[in-house]
Amino acid sequence: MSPIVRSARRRLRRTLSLARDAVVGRHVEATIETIARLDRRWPVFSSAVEFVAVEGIPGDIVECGVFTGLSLALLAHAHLRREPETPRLIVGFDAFEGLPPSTDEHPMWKTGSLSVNAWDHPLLPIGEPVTPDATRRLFAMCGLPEPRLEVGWFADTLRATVPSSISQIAVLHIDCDLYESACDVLQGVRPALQDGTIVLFDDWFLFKGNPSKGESRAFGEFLAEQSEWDAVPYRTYGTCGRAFILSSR
Amino acid sequence: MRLASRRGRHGRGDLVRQLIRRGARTLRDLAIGPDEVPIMTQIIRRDDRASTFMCALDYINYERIPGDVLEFGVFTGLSLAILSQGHAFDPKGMDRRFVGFDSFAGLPSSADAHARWQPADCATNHGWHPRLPFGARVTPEVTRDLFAACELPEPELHVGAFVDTIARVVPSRHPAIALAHLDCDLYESTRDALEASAPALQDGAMLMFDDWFHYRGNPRKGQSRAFSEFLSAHPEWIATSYRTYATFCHAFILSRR
Repeated sequence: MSPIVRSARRRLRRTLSLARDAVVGRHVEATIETIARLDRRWPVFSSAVEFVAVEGIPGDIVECGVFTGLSLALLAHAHLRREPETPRLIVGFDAFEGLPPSTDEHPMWKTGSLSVNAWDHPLLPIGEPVTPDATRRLFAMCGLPEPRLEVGWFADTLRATVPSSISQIAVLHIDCDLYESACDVLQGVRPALQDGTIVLFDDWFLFKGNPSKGESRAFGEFLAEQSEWDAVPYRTYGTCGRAFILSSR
Repeated sequence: MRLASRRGRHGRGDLVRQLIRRGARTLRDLAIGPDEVPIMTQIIRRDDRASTFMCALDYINYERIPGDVLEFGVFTGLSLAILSQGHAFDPKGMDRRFVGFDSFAGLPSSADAHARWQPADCATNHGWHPRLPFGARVTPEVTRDLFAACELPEPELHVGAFVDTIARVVPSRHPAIALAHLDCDLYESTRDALEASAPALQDGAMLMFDDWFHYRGNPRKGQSRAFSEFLSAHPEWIATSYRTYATFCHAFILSRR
């Protein structure tokens, strides 16, 4: 095809598209697809959920540190868009009171930080208080079924639900920044871990990448004091993220 | 309630608008012909591994690792085509042949049972392909046709079991390997491919394992087991992790001690 014909066709195609948009309105991307496109962690959330589906890892998708619900919604979306054969609960744990005190000092994250929204969100303006309701409304807006939210400090809420109502975990997203919180999470989820569970640490390289601080210190200690699991490095992702696969020894 | 399906995603108004949009698109395509997205562009957009393949080709070309690009487990030719395209973009003066090994008879049996892959899987197409319908038989012609449609130089395909075909052409016909893409799922196949390639592997060669994290990431099964045994048997090589990519994949650089 000659370049002139090709360019004429392209122009005609564009005109027809504009005419169509004028009649029926522009195509609007679904909210969750926009969130996915803008979130650098999305490819790894999607891979993690594909991994547990293909490998047949049983259990639920659990997030510790929900904040405004964006990553929990992405995990739910990654799961549901595959039209899964295996039903899985989508569960978020958070106190919704901001960060608790920690022995690790960070230049940005202080006690009480993250009790109000700090990033772009389709529903919650920056500076507004972060509540469980923001996450519920986000799920509704994205056409996702309501997630289960366990409100309270990790040690308490995990003790109350694992393994009694959450007996197996396939994907665990740890997004709680601090050493102490990550320790509580890892102790709390222990009875539900599976051969092949993917553990995603959102804040692995926080504290200047120092392995004796934050989530990486907590995971290092967790691995050292047990002999049941090997941690197989999976992906590094986003700005600070690192994922592992737990493999039975 | 455990979530297995999504309901109430669109209201009725959305559905009507969507139908009108689809109708308008069909009419437009009938009038002026469908939008032509080049086949290779369609392939790259749909393949999570594409950017790593491009980086790997750039790496062997920048580092001037001599030799050919071999793929073990060709299936419908998509990954071999992306690798060949990666080279065609910018060969940096390196001359390479693109070579595929496959029995085209599906997976052989393995001592390790897998949750999803069974013997004879992969004899028919089970994924998106620009030229081959779902469920159609996978043959060497599919890959040749794909390369022709993408205007890539014809690849060399060696049809048969790895133990027979590789020994016949490596190192006699392919004395140097710059990059090996191991996309054969199983421990036994990966072991055979690595062992037969050993005499031609170059210092700095890239080894890309497509199925590294299968078997639930277990390091004592599948490709991970085959590579650790290979490294124990060949102390002349050190493996440096290059990157993990897509859902199941891991690439390494081999360095001579």
